[in-house]
Amino acid sequence: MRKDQDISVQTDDSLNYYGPIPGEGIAERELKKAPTPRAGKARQTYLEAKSSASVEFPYWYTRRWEELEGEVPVIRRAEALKTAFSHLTPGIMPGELLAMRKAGYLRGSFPLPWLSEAFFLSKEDDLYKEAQKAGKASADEVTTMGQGGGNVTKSIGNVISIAGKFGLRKEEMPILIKTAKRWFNKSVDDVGHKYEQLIPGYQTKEEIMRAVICMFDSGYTLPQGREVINYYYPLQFGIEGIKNICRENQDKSAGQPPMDRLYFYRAVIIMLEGLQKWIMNYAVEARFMASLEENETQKSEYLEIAERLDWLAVNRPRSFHDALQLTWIFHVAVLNEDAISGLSPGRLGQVLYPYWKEDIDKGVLSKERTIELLECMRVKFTEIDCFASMGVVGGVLSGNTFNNLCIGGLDKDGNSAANELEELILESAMSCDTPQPTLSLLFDEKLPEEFLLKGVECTKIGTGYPAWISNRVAMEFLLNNYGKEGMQTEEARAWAIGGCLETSPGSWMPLDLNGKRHYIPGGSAPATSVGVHFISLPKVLEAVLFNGIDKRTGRRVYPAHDSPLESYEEIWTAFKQYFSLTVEVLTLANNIQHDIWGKVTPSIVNSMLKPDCLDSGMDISHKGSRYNRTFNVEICGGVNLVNSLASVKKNVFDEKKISLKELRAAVEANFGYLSALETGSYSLTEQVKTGTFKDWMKIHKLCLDAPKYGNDDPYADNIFRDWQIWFSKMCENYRSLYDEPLYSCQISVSTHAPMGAVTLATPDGRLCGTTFADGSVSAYPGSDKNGPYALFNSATCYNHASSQNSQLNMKIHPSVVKGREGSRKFLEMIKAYLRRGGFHAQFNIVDSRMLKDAQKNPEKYRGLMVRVAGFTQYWVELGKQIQDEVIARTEYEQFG
Amino acid sequence: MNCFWCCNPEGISPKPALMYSVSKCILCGECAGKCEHHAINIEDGKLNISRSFCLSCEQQNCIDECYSGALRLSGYEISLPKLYGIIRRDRQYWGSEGGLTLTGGEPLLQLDFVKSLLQKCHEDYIHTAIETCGNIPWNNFQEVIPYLDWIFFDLKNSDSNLHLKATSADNKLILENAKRLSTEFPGRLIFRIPLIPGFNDSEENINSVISFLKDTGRKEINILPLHHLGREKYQMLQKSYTGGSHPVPVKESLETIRKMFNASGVDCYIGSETPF
Ligand code: SF4
Ligand code: SF4
Repeated sequence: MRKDQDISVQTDDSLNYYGPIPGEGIAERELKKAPTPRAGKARQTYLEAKSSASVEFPYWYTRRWEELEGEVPVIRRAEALKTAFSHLTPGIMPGELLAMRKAGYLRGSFPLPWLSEAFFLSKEDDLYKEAQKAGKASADEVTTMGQGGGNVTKSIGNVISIAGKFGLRKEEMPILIKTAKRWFNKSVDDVGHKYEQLIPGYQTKEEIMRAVICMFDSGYTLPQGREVINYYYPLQFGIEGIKNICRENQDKSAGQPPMDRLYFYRAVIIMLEGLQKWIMNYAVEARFMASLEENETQKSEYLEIAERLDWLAVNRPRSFHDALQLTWIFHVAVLNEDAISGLSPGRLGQVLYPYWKEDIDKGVLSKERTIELLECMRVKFTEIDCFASMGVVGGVLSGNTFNNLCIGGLDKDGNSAANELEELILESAMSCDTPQPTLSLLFDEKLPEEFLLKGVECTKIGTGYPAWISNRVAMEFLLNNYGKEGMQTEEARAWAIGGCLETSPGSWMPLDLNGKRHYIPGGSAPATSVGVHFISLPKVLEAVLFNGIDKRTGRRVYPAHDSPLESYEEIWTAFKQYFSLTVEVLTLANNIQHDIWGKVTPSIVNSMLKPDCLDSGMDISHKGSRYNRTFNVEICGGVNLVNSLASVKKNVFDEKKISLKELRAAVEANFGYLSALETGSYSLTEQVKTGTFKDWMKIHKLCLDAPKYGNDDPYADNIFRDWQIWFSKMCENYRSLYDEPLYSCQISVSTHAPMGAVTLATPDGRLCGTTFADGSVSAYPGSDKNGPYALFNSATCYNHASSQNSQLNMKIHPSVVKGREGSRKFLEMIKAYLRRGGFHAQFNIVDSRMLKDAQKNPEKYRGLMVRVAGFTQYWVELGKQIQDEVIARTEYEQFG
Repeated sequence: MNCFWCCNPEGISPKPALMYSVSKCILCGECAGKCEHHAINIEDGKLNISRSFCLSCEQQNCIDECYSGALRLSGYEISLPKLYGIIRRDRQYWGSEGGLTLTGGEPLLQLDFVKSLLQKCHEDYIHTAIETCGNIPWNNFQEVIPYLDWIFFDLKNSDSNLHLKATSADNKLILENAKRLSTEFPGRLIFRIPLIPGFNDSEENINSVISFLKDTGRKEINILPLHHLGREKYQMLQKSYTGGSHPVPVKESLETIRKMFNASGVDCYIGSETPF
């Protein structure tokens, strides 16, 4: 009789043995709460607003920059920022409790041509064509942008669509083009490009970009972000206080080595003057609006805003409301200095707790008012748009800005850090369920059960947050990586998630409030996820199978390996060679780009905030911050790589059922199916057969039936572990521009869609053009047949602390977690995974039929949110590729 | 035994059966060509499997040739360590609340395997339960009793003739075993009635179950109302499903039965609404 291993992976799923087949109607998510009327209105206004770009900031920035030809670069930059900030037209909306935004419009943002000027010009423009030639536009070309919501994907009337997403008034376009062209040969992109060409192997780098084996250069696209902001200095000293610190330091450092300090302190003062002007402009505007307002309540609210802003332009915050406003001001200020995605507020509930507790004890603040303020804050965070190219915004980020707010974790002394304000943060996230800030719960065994269940309640409403993160694993990773820079256990506890999922180091800073000292956490390193961004592993394997050629374009990417590939080991060796070469050239090129970024547009706002730049007088690109081992290598499609290797090993070498030649032919023939680009559907389940599919059916079945990751099957899991161990070690062979070793990072955000789109069929049976498995330890949709616990076992077959953020996404049917009993069981399941060593898990609690309906009738689902890869986004703002992928993701209808 | 309402018909035979899904079949005929027993033939666009040949097959070549996934086996052999690995996989999750329940077919027909498995689980503090039809030699119970926490025991009909007709076995041995278990099994013994309208839902049958419970000193009963969820599997096995002619019990009659039990001091749980 047959043994179990022959048929343990079955392709048949017509019968559902895993529990009840859900009933006819679409299962609704439970527990809907309504926001306060104020926040509800603001959210509605937001949902109706479009992403809007303006040119004030770039115009004034460029103008001042040009005036200061010959000035010390950091001063020139500070002056340009100051001028740009002082000329931003304020935009205040009725009903706002927190004022100020990126630019005058509700979803306002602006291009930053000093980083890169080509991508937002039209496709006909010469500069765009230049970029295309260097392979820089490849990612844009294969990305689909969400067509609904606030994205402006087409020009309409007087509004021009730029960079595939943003609307710009027609009359501003000539100014933008003129401004942009001033940066020709001067932007970080252009200058970096000039020098990156000098690296050995540059030609390979360009081919890698063209083949979309790598998604994008980080130096000029999103040089900052994936980090936790630090609000400490403004809270503790107030803006004027910081200026005083700088003045003192300026006196001490003038003429003293190291020389750069003088200019840095000077630059911070100049920049802060610009911020003060910007804040006071808003106060003036608020007063002006009050003068026009007839409604008495609204009038007094405008006046309150004006009074608060005037105060905060100079002083320390006096209350919770003040403190919240001030943190928001600095959040926006940092966002405006660079193209940034993933600037996370971190453990905001712990930063603000001292203010909140005082106000509550004094009786000047109620819980209801707190909720209202927090809801308003949510709408503000959701408004943030990031201006970058379509490949970055659509393909990588799915339009998300990753303002991740963390709750829970441990305090400085190692006790539970969860507090009442964080419970209100959870509550406001349930009542006002906007995508930002997304929440992460830093799980530790020390957190109280009630708090965890509150977290579960929130996850259950289907917003996808909080994501559940293991504090233990994060601390192990941090101590491994930053221990070499002196991090101790106590400080490791101050960490938070920066960006969608990046474990970011933090520090405890002493905040004095009415004679009491509180230690508040905050980010303590620059961007933690810069360097080699998103290497498409299945695409590298494809190149191995085809001796270095990109089959889609026919171009040679890598030098031929000319290995006969006669054993599994030879394939694995060739893969390692190609992967290493990729990391090498990309590290060198990115080092140059980031170095140029630090030279042309050094960070001043964010540098000032990060400990210990104000002490050392060095900005973050000169290792001014406490921790600097932040460069990494990010990958995409790891699970498809592992499944493909398992299939090759089993079918070609172990059991010799097919030859490599046959497999190659099948892959090229896409197993007899149309490619996803032809069908327009990107999920495996909806592909269309061609007339020849019967010829390939046997091979396809062998490929699909080969062992798959996610089933607790050692055959596949051992390959996964080998890969992980090798990957984490090999990264240390490369050095960042800060002369620190690189480390491995598992994040893929939403690159698995565009990268899948350019990849042929893979030996695991995945078809050409379809999306890869998401996250890093999620199973390929439909391939995990043994339930969630088998998946957990596979996922934890290696130590998650050996690299940054392993990521598990799961879709769960609402019926499974229904009711109070469902909540408790859900929590047990989450705990089981985290205790087993899982780093992160996040959940979409949604019926896939609802999602299919939403694809057909987007207008009915403007407010529907889903979890993608470390972040929550409105369904209608997702690209079609990602939508298909979320629908296909295996849906669990019963635990266990 | 072979009960007409069975919802797991693939478990009736001790050997795994070939299951065929019409909707996936593309009628390529590969399977028929590979079957050494000539058990498959395709006529008029329909595929037929001759079950009498098929049962004796060792190789199941047909499955290897079916690339559309239309053919599969209803079961497979698994080793004890492997099975145990699967059982303990989610142990962390169910913790002190969950455990192992063996069901079938009749699990105690595979006495040696079941015994070692129960023993292993018992040693490792995993809660154990078994669902049995009771129609097996007493010795089979005796062997596993030390490793069992719970037994779910079916009482299908008190009338031996009706029992014989519906299940191809009378209830003599079953009742004997039931009585012996109630004195010799120290764990929790729960009797169950798979409630089939028109077969065993008469007042008379319920009353005799009540008196049986009195005799054996049991205070609880679990009613499992008939359902037709297994229908599709009959199609895949190309068997006819006679249970389909019986309606599923209506709520009122379930309530009436519950009241009858309650009146005689027996707790009556319906379906999965149980405290266990
Ligand atoms: S199981 Fe054996 S006898 Fe039955 S159809 Fe398949 S090959 Fe023929
Ligand atoms: S091999 Fe499979 S698909 Fe082909 S006729 Fe047989 S059962 Fe049908």
